[in-house]
Amino acid sequence: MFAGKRHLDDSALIRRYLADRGLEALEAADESLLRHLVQCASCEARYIAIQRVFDESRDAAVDAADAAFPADRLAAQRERILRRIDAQYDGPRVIPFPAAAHAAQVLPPSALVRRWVAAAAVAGLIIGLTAGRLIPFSSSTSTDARRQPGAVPASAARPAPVMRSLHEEPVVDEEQLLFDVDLATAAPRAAELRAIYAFTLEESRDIPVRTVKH
Amino acid sequence: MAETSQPAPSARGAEMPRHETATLGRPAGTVSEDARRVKAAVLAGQRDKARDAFADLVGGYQRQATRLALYLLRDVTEADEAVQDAFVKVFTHIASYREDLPFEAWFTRILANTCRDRKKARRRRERWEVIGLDRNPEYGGRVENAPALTANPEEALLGDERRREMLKAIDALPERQRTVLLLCHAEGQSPRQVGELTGLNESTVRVHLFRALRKLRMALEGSRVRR
Ligand SMILES: [Zn+2]
Repeated sequence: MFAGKRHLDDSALIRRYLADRGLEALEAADESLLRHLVQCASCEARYIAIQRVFDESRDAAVDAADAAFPADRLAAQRERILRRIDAQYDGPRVIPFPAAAHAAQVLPPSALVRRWVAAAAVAGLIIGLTAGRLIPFSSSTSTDARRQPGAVPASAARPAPVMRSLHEEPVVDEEQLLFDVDLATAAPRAAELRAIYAFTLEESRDIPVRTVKH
Repeated sequence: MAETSQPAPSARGAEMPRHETATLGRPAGTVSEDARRVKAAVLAGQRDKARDAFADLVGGYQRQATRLALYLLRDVTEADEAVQDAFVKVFTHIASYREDLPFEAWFTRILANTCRDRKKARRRRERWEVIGLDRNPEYGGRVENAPALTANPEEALLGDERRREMLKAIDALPERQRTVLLLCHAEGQSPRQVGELTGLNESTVRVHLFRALRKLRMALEGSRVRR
């Protein structure tokens, strides 16, 4: 094209910036733009100024976001996530079906009281299921109220964020979401799902009550 | 198991540096490798191994995840919770993670959907509310209290002022332009990825991005001229 006839306007410089960032593809016709920038010191200076402003604004946005989440907040976030994962593991382990022959082996032999609590929790769960009232917010009732003295694991005894998020999580929506997202359309899932079932014993949505622990 | 059996302060001291640098400087594909390790351990029934690998995965990606959530939700508490929810979903459904695809793409979609659900819920709660960078006291406060990035106090003051101007200019953008700008420009997501995250088509994303930068340019040029 005809490079150098006129100075580049801001739009052209912005397009160049986006191209440099890999966010926009310059077309063949834009060759003139590139040539002009190389040949025109004035436009090149303007481009460098624009580039600097945009880079600074990017850094400002990133720094602002990072400042909102300092290291201790991230550490607390990670801890909560891991506790929720632990809760998923612990739930089915400690709330076995009362009729299951091996149930007694899962609970410590001395934990007679806890066994009763577990049985009561399961009974409550069954009643809830039967009544069709197993809705997400039903599990957001006070965790502490259901937690028995002495049944709290050591890790939960220290001051820490309450694990309310798991209870509040709309697990049914989550399932829907995951299917909507359709993350693994091509993968044959049956074997994997069987494996994860075996691992966790129950899928998470089936274990809204999981607060009775060793 | 070691991580939750440690109080938060020591966990921070022992692990954050690794994760801080990890997020910024870990080689591409490391989180995908972590995700593969989690999946393998889960499928093998190795609980502790799965948990440890998952802790690495969270530590390696939570900073970026949190920024994404913040850009989408513009609320610190909600972003925090959305990231937690998304990671828990990842673990719960790790068996369906396709190892041939980058973990980031999988996770980002889960996170974006989680954020979208939260946004919908918030809109139902507070139909009128638009939380902005400089209007959200928590966000704004944190920004102002952030440590200066330059050693020279005068430069730091000038730098802070400039940064505030920039944040204000970003905040003044129309919502879609701002979201696209933050995701593409700040976070480096491609217009296609942002299209998938936001439900906009790719060319619309490009248009929003271009317009956002043009407005930003005008706003910041104006403020520079006025000074
Ligand atoms: Zn020129």
